[in-house]
Amino acid sequence: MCSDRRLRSIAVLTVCVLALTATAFAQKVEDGARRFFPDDPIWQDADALDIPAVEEFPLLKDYDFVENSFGDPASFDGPAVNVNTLDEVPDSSWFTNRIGRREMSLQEVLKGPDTTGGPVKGAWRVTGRPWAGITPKFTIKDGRGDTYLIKLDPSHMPGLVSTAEVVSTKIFHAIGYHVAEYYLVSIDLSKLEVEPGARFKFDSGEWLPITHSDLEHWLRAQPRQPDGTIRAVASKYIPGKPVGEFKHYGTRSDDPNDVFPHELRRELRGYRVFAAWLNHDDSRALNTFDSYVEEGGRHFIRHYLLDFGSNLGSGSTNPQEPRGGYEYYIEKDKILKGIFTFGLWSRDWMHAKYPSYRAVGNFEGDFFELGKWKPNYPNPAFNRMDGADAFWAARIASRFSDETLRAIVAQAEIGDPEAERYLGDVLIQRRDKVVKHWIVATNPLDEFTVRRFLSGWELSFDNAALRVGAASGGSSYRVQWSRLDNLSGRGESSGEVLALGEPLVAVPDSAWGPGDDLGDRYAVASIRTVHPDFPGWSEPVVVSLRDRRGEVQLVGIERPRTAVEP
Amino acid sequence: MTVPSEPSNPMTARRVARIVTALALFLLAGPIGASVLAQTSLRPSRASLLEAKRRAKFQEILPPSRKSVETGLTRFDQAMLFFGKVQRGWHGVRMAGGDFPAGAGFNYGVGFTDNAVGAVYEDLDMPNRLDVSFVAATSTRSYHQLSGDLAFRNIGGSILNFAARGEWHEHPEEDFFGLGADTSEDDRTSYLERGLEFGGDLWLEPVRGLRLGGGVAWTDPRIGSGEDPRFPSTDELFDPSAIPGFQAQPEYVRLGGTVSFDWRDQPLRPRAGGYYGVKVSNFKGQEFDALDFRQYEADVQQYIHWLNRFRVLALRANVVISDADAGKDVPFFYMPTLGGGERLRGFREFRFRDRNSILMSAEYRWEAWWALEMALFVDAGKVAAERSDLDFDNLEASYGLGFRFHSTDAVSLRFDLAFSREGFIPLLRYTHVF
Repeated sequence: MCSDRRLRSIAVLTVCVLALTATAFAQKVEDGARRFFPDDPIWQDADALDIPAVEEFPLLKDYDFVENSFGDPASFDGPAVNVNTLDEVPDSSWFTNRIGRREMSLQEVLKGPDTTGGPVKGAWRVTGRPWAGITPKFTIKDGRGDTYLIKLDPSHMPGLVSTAEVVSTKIFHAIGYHVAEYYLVSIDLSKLEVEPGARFKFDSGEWLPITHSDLEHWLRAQPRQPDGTIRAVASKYIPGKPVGEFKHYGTRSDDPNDVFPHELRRELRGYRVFAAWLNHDDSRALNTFDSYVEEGGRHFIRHYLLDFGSNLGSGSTNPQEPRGGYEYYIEKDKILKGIFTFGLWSRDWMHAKYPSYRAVGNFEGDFFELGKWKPNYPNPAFNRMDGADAFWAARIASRFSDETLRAIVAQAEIGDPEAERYLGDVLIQRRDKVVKHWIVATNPLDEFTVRRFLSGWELSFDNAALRVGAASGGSSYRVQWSRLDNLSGRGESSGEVLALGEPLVAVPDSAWGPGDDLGDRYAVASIRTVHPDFPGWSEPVVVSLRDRRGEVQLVGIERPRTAVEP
Repeated sequence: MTVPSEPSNPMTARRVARIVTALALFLLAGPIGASVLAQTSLRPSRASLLEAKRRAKFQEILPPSRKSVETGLTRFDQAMLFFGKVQRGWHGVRMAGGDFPAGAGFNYGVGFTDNAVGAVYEDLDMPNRLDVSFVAATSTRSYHQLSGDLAFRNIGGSILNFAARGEWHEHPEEDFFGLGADTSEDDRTSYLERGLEFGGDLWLEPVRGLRLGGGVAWTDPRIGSGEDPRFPSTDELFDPSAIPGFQAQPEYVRLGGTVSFDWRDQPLRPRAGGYYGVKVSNFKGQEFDALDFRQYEADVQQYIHWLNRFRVLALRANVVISDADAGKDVPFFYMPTLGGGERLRGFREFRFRDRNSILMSAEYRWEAWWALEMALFVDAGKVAAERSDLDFDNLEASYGLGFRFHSTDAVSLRFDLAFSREGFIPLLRYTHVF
């Protein structure tokens, strides 16, 4: 009996110790003093916890316009919060790191999100005709039973929408966004069948059965290809249950996985850079898509960007409006100025020149200025983009080579070599402008690497602005080491400021802080860049290293948030 | 003698062993606990922190809700959808307004339209397309209209088209200020105009934009005392015998022909191109020929970009000439008029009236906003009894500022502020001026 009591006491004591330990750790977690956690940097944000079924909550597009045009509906300011300690975006239900983090083969880029190769050849059964959006479209089911949305080009601008969709999808996918699968298809009217019971909503508002003559009418004005078929783009239905769109602010109250305010999500703030590059002026909530999916027995919401029909030079049913990308729908000052100057003041975008390629539309790179680019109406996430967000995005954009972009354009099969060359040129030109604009806007150090050197360690890095040709020569660096007490989060300077001519510095032994609860030690380098043309680069990039049982690894990068736009 | 050693107490030995074990467990518990915890969700990790946040939100999930403004907009959208359905009507039956002149008041009615009868789609190029419409409308000023239209397009798949129209209308408060250029604004009177008309037109379009046509119509115009309570009837202020056609009106057979070429980029909001048209009509009275006459109208519109395509100079000239043989006259109700929303905008509707008219308009239009085009405009014109008086002397002028809200290809709302020697007139219209 006595023995049992003691054993019970021992068990109780053990549990108490475990609980105390857990409480202590939990307290550390909660008080936020701890700078780095043992699993930092995380590359996977596990936001796919199994959640109960979610009801569809469709966006009211008029309200989205109103609330963003006449106010700022977002509640939070400050830096992006969903980044890891390396200032990168972990993979999540929103984003998957691709070309920004690893080498992508050209084949992989060109494949994009595609999983099927498109609707299988043979008879396609027409199942409906959605009313949403302004691009003419209808839905089909192919021989495999997959459903696709067929989007038609404007009959007077063959290739316009399909080119924009194909090119944009490949690029946004390679960047890391979740996008729908888009395939160029050739419609053979004789192989279109109507699914029994298929209906569509007629202009009068009535629901009518679809007949083959309806199909003929829908396709009547579409230009024929030499073989008599009609060019279009087929978008495979996104798997899962549609549950609405996501806004560029706030979180969804019925999604427990959605804990980061969208206006503080790096990939939604940096999206502005990509939208500017590709002239995605319709980058608003309406063109997003939330799908309640099941994977590995878990149910969660995956977030997509959707509908790139108003990208590049396309305005969906016409060439892009010249205003598109340069002015919000409503800008009070410009409206008043436009009224009271009697046309003597003209907006600068009115002087942009566009080519006459019908598959390209109003897309150009000479007049394009990144600092002036705007979506159709304010986007809370875009408006909160800071230097760190922009650098993240610009660096990803810089990873698209000229060859890759030209190969992506070739995927659109424009059929006009001049137009194809032009589109490739403009994409490259605008990429260069995007990259150069934002790379130089903050201290442009990247490619941090720590490696053994003799008996110690050295930290090397690169100057992205020099690498991409946005700046030339003359850079030097100032490094201040400090010791970091990881548990308290406090740092203490160590040694003098080191002046470097090359982006390489040894890690001094004196830079290591005390071991934390797991015995890990941390050293921090604040690196300023000195360049006569870019005084803003003197704001440091702060790089943290961790020594874990004799192995040193890069664990933290903090970039300046301030962007000094050229 | 050896003192035997005290035999060991087995219980004591076990106790010691247990105590040692307990101490060992106690001492090990911390590190083991930490190790165990490090492998569980309680481990102090970034991932566990995020998971904790999500699990906390899991306890508080709520269905998404809409803000009050959003709810209001939703209801507004639903109302607009309903209104749209009412406007679109049911199987062709719809709300309709009358084709009344300005000043008729708020008008309303019911109509029936079936474009491309028998076809699902309204395809303008469809062979043998048949359009049918009927309207019955009235207004708050007791204007009434009953009309029916029928059009055969692309007859036999050709370029030939035919339209027929029948209409009865009553306009009880039409304005009359006297004939000629020297009338007074203070002499505003009203008269009643009632008409019955049946006619048909043939036209063809051999090339895009070019239209050649001709037609015949039977009309039965009737004139009476005006019913506008604000102004005297025309026959009270003017000598009816001095107004051609006021006392007696014949039934007419009207023969006409038109030639026009239209290469405007967007007819409902032109920004480039032009329109040139000529119309000839011959009115022959059936009971008597004292009011037989001919009428010729030329209309020229030109749209010129100025510096860029967001600034447009819009120019228009319009001449109407009425010609009657010696001893015959032109009835006042078929004379051209100036004034109103389209013709000499700073003056009231029908302000000037005579056998002949000339009108010139110029607008400088600029894009103030993507949905708003502004215009500075000036109109000049006059009416004259004699053709030889249609010169540029003593032109009446008006000028003003226009606000035109538009979609991509059509003006949907026009608000012109027009000024003339007779004052200021705000004009609200749902069509472009030219």
